[in-house]
Amino acid sequence: MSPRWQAIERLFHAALERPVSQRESFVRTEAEDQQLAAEVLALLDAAPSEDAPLTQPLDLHGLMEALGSAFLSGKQLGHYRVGDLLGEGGMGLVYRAIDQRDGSTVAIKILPPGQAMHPNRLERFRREARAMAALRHPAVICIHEAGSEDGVHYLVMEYLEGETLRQRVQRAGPLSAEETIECGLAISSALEMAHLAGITHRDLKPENVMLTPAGPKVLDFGLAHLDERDSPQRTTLDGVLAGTVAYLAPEQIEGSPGTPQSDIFALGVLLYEAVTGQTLFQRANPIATARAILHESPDYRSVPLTMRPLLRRCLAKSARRRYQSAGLLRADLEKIKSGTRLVEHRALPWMAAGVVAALAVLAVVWLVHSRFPRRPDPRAIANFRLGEYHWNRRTPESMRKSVDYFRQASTMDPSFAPAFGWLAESLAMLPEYGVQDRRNTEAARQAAERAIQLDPKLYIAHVALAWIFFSYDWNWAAAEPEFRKAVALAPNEALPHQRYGLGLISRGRFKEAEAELVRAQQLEPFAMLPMINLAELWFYASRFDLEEAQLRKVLDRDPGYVLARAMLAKVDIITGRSKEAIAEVRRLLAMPETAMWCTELTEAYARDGQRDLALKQMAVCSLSRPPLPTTFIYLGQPRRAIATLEEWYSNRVPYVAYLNVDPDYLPLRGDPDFKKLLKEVGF
Amino acid sequence: MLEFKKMAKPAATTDDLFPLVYAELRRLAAAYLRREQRGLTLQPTALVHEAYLQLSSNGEAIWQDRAHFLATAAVAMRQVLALQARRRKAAKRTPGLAAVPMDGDIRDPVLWDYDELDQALDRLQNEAPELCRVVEIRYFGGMSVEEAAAHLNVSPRTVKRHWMLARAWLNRELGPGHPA
Repeated sequence: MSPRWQAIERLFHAALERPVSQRESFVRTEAEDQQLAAEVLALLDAAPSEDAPLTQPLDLHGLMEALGSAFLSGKQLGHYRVGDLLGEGGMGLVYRAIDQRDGSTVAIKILPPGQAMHPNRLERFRREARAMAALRHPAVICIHEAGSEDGVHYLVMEYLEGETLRQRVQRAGPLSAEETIECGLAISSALEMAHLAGITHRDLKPENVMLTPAGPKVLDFGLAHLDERDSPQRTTLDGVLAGTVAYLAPEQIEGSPGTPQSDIFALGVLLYEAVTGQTLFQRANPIATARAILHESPDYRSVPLTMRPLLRRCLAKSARRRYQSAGLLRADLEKIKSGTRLVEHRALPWMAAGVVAALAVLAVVWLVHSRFPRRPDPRAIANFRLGEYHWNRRTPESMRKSVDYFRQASTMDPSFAPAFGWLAESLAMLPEYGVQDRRNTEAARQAAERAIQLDPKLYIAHVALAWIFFSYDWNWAAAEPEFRKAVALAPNEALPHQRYGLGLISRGRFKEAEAELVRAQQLEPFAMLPMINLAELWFYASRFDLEEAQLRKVLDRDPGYVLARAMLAKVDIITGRSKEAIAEVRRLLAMPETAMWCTELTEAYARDGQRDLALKQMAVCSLSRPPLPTTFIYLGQPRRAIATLEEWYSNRVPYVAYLNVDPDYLPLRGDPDFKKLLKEVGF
Repeated sequence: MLEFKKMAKPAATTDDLFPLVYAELRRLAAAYLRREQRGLTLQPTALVHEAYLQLSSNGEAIWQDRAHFLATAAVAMRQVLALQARRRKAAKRTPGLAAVPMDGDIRDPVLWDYDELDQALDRLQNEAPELCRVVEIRYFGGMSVEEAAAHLNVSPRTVKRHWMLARAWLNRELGPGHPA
């Protein structure tokens, strides 16, 4: 404590021991200066009585809210490390987060515990999130996954940089006519796709449109009606958030559920407000706002002439008089963009408008079919997108799911080449995720061949075929031309470079491998996998200094990336820094879901000469993961190492392809059985 | 085997304990809420103590001792209560942003502004960190004078003196009516 505070405390307690009447004169005489005296006297005035209660009663509801949602910063949720709070909305708190599997930044929305407590609502939230995950569109925020942990329910989304349309208009005034049309094109095209998939937005408003460098993105698709249906506050008009009422369509105010036409109405309001900078129906209270929506006709004087007919149709009070699909609205926006004047449809009776709309739909369908004779079945596309989504998540479970979806897509449309190509790719990846079944690999081969038959230029089919030759057949002579073909077909895709790089590592062609992996990293600068692959390259090249530097780079970007830390520990093991390795692996094992790294602890103990501990550790590990051949090498049991390798060989474990370059097997180099094995693998 | 387990699990740091304490506080709060006792007065310290009992009864205690736990839980409790107060205030400022219970004022009376207390403690931390620490572990962790003395490695008399002075200081900072 500072000398000043020591003086305060001394004087304060000395004065307290005196009768109240003498305290002031005592303090004034004893204090070294006036300021100190004043301070102590003020504190004496505020001195508590002995029996004052220690703490206040708790607000348990508030406590639950606080504990349940806001304390997640810095915590781990599923695969995500939660960062700072980005904002708070009706549906929950949104945080920035890092996906620890690849280091990418995502946004996580946490459902308020109050909402999550209703099982029906939760189930609907999950179902909706799954539907949303399938909705892939450049103008729709991408939903990665919905999960829950310890009763906390969350939605993982693409992280967007930018501002909402509302913020943009408030900051810089109305958009130009051109900007408004671009915005309208993006949103109507997103609505078009969502409506085809049976999803309506129901809460389209300027707060739900983000303007990002990559264009406008629609948020909160299809989630809005979750509250509408279940929350008592939302069933009556005065309970609805004031900002939301202003974008409801007349029929919604009258109690109908949201339809594609009500989304079109909301888009009309949104575009009107964007281009004029003024609110359209917003009034002092929700009732007045609702009345305005039902009865008042918008003032179009500040709307650019070219856009008036379009907005009139969006904002028709009767849903039947509006655009009958978002696609028709988009088509009109495109016409305006290209300078065509729109004809007003006001005079048409609704029946005629409906017929015209129906004819227009037919015309569009016909056009599409005539222009793309092999347009894939829409159901096949939907399954294909789901397959892509699961492939991207790269977990054993998601890989299996992606296989199912790609397979369904290929069955639904047997001439849809990408479905076969990606089916081959995901099947070929299964062994990497621990799914060992020869039939999968044979199916992958067939799918790749079928895809190439349908479209010889499909790079993914060549990637898959190359991978089968490389990691399953161990036939490098066949694999390399396929890798090269894939790279040549898609020089700007990271995947062919990355896979070819891994193949080159196994052949000890480290310089070329480095070039490919660096290229992959440049093409996908935010992906963690190519960075990790580069570290792996240096491991196999026995350049542990470079590996360490590379891993530090990974950890700079994401200090919590467990894989990188485990690989660093492995560097410590192989370079003899066993004490550091032991400490680090133990730290890792104290974290959730890190049991697989317990084999590293075994190796670290063995390397440290603590054989008994190592054996014990191995016994513990074998409960969750069978021992690795390297573990036996560290324990000085080369025969068991080779036996395990032989087993891997007969099970066609893909790793065997790297046997010739793995520095861990240096001690086995002279062993005749090991040599024989290498030869059989094609070295 | 037992020795082995201990080796693999180093003594937990405050950071490691946070999620554990949160989870337990949450579970307990939910349990109290389920009992649906209107007018139930539960104090933060009572909750922290119960959390300790629960977490130490499952046989796998990873903190060094009870004081270590209470000190950790105190920090957690302080932050949770401050955050709760801030969110409540934010919700009042912008109606509709966060759900405020209809009968909130009847069910959870706010007698103490934990947000202001939190800010005052931050100031106290700057002026006299020893005083702040005593308040934290006594007020939020519910440690007895003796426990606090052992934990801070000072005499019980010092704890009492710090505690009295800190409460006077807080009363002065937060204005009249706060029974610190």
